[in-house]
Amino acid sequence: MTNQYDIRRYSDLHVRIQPFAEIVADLVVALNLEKTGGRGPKGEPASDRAIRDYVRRRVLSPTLRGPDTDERGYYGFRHLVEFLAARVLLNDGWPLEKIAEHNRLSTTDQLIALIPGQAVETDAVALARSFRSAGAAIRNGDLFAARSSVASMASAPPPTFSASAPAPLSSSEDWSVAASFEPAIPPARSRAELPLLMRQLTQSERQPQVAQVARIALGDQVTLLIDQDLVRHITPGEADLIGRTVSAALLDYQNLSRPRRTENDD
Amino acid sequence: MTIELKLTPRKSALLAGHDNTLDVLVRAIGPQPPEGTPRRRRLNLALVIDCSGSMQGQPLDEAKRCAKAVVGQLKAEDFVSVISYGSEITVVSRAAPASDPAKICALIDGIEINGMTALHDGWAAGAEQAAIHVKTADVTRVLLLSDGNANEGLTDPAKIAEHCSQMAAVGVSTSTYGLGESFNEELMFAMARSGGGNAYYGKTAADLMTPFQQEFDLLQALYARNIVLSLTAADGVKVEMANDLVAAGSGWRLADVAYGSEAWAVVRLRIPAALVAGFAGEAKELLTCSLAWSRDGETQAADTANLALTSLDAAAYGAVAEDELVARRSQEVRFAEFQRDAGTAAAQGDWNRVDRILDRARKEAAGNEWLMASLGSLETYARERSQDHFTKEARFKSSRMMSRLAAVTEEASYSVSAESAAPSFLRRREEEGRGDRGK
Repeated sequence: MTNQYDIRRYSDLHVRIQPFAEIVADLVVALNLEKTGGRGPKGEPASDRAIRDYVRRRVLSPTLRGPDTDERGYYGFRHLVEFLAARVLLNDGWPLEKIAEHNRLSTTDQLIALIPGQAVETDAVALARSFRSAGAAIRNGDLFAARSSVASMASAPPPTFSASAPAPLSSSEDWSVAASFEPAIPPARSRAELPLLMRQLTQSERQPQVAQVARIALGDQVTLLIDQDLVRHITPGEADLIGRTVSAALLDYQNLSRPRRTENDD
Repeated sequence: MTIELKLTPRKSALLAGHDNTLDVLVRAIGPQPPEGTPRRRRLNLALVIDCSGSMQGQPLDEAKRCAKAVVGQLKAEDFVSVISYGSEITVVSRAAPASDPAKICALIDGIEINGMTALHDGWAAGAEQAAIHVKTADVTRVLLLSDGNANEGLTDPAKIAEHCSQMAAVGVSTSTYGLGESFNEELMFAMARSGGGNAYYGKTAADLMTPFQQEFDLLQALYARNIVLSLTAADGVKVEMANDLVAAGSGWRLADVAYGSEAWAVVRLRIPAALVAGFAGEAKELLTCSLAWSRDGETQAADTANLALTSLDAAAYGAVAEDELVARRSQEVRFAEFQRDAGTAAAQGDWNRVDRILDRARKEAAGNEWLMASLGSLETYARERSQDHFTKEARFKSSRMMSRLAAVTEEASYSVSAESAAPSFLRRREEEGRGDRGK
């Protein structure tokens, strides 16, 4: 995957601190790393001062020699990756001392894997992300995407996926994998027929409505179906009201199940 | 220093003039730990913790305690990540060196209860974190804890197990921890078996620490993984694998071998009488075994081992003593089969059948102190007609016996105190779901 924030475009970086700070500052903003994730203190702005401080604290590796001189003070791709990874970990609440240790122990690829939106070029990471995407698609009721994301892993060369977003869904038509996702009618055909079938079924142009429902089995004989959004954010008062309503409905079961009598019944 | 492959027949001869059934013990014997301080294996663990509603209270507290205990034992050069899953998946701590255990433990303390059980999504998030460091670490494993069933996202056990298998093939293995009475043991077994790891369970939250420690100790002492045993029998000889092992290609996968331990299997040979006639007076080859495993990312192989025997008349054959170790391991496998069948019968609510099987198991266990002790908890659950407890204990016990690592120096005798002196992953246990607390 290549996007406008792909930091690998700087893989040949070899610059002095001023342009390095400008590149870092741009990337921090572009990758949305200037804000904390809510766990840790806000990081220093990507200034000359912060960069020198990071070198002094060993969050960044020692600076490089210049291209035509023994003079140090140059920054390369590894420094860029170290800075951005440090910003991610700072946002997670890590102290700089531990980040320095982490950066020293990690390879460049491992650090890149921490940075949002970056491609990770290992089979294992790509495979795990395809499984996550498949799971997420099933949760969203999109079986087409579910099988596509897994099928693409089996049929294509090792793909690269975003480090923070779900894996991009392939348009692969190789259906040989993920057989359990296979619907009875080919998806393309069933999608094309959907408007017509809906008209026949409902006499309207309306699209199928999808609701995420949580199914809570209360023992063998009682199953509660409840709107998933409601149950996720339910308050004690709402839960109590639902419980009382269920009680009332159960106690009035005879009336609920009996057909309503009308004047014409007799 | 390598793995030694050893074949031992229950009797070192065939009985002339008869069809013969012969048990052969196959042992993959790991080396003794090297002198001095061996290089510690670099671990890369993803701790995936169920925080669905049913984990409220002590279960989640104990899960956190176990996770923190694991983190506390890691070295700075190890990698660890922590993921919690309910309806939402949260990467509590990203995959990173375990250089700040206090920070990671504080993050674990912050895990909160969260709705349903998106087990597959939680596992996949753990696998993703673990995968980042798979090339750097010696052992990469997802440790997944659940007290329930997958009820959100992908829930098909076969599909989830297939994903575990694919991740294992790229170096990310999976071990599972079931908690309590309601977890789906079929799913947890399937994930661990397909994922190249181990399945454990704790009857209560307080029982969880023992299996976590067991796994941690095993990972630190690991010598070789992905051990595949291949068997070739002589023409006319039928060969059966008695242990319930996972098929791997044309062979079977044995337990991962730690220093000072052995993975083993009992192979049953059936030799027709007509064929035995050709073995008179001259030892002929019956079975050839080969072994392959991975260590430090490389595939290695042991020297091929052969079993050749001769046939004897009844009098001479009767004088040949049985090998005590082979007889004992065969007894274990048969006992494990009884437990597995009893677990199935209990799951179906057929307690009369359970009682009959346990009677037979008791007869089978005669003379084996460990098996007799092990039967106690099952008999108690059977008397109580405690279906969940019985089913889970029987299945986990059976699975463990079928695929356990043994100490190279393991004695026939058994006592709790002697076992407690052994490394935790080599201990013979009386109850799989019960931790070591209070013993």
